[in-house]
Amino acid sequence: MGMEYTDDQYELIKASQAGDSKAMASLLEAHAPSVYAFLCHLSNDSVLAEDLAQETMLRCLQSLKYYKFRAPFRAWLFRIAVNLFRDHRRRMTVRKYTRSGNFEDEQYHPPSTDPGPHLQAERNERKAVLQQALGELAPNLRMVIIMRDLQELSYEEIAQSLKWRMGTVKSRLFRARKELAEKMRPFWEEP
Amino acid sequence: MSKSHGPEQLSLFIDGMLTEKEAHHIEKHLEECAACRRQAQEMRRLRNDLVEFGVPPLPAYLVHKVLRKYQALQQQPSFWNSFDFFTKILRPVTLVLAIAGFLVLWFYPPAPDPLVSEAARKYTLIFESTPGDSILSTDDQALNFALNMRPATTTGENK
Ligand SMILES: [Zn+2]
Repeated sequence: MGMEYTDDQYELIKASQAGDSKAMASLLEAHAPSVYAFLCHLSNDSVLAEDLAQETMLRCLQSLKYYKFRAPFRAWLFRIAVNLFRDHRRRMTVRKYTRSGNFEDEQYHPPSTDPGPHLQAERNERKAVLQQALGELAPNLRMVIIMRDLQELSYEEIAQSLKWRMGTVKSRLFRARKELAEKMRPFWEEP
Repeated sequence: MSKSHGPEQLSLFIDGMLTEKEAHHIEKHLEECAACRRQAQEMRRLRNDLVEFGVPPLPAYLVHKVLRKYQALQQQPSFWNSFDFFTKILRPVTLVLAIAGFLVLWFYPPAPDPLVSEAARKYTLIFESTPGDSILSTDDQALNFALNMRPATTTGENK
């Protein structure tokens, strides 16, 4: 397969591979936010997510020379993150994905016009419910729906990141959406 | 869900992953089927909620921290780097030892085997005292000389 994935960051990646530290910084700046956000949603723990994001970035730099443009760069990077997350889970099998409230202290809503205290409270509640529902999904389902609906990865990028066949991505994404919708339905239907 | 399309189709439909024909088929189906319409609507709502749910901002120092850590690791001698350091020392040491060994052999060559030197001495004597062709010109003669350290005289005479 001689196919190369050459996105708009091709030059940046090449320069980083050659050891250009400015290019490395730009490359990380471009990708770290989505890796961190992905890990936050996946782990529901911002401290852990920060650790894992850091480790992902470090491994990315260390193994950048092995990246041969055979997969989209983002998929390659997310694959590192997914593997680190899985390793962590294996070590912490007892860990429960409950709503730890870690995010609650941190205001990370997209900046928008101030909706007023009442709407704000309603939105916070909606967020908490969704966060809990997300945490109750099986990890595979949680991963795929976060990648697609939150990070907007393409189906192909998801398949490459998780090493799933395309059919698996499609069916698991459907299942994730169905299960999550079922969990949210009672809340949505509240008057 | 109608039998005319698989359950995943709806999910693919809202992602724009269907062909024009398939999408058109679903659109027509959604006009008729309230259950699927509702499911598609829920999936869209879910995505909106998730997006609104937001993305936590990256701690500002994270990238900087990673770069510094990476650079520190690059400079730190790793196991293989230290191995390399040893080979750099071992190479000249090996060279010096090799030269010393050569010089020792040059000035103090090992004493030759006394039997061999005796044979060489005799051979030289015999060779010098025999006129004409070498007395060891055939394999037989050479073998005989090696065994008895004296030349076999010409054919059949010593029998
Ligand atoms: Zn239907």
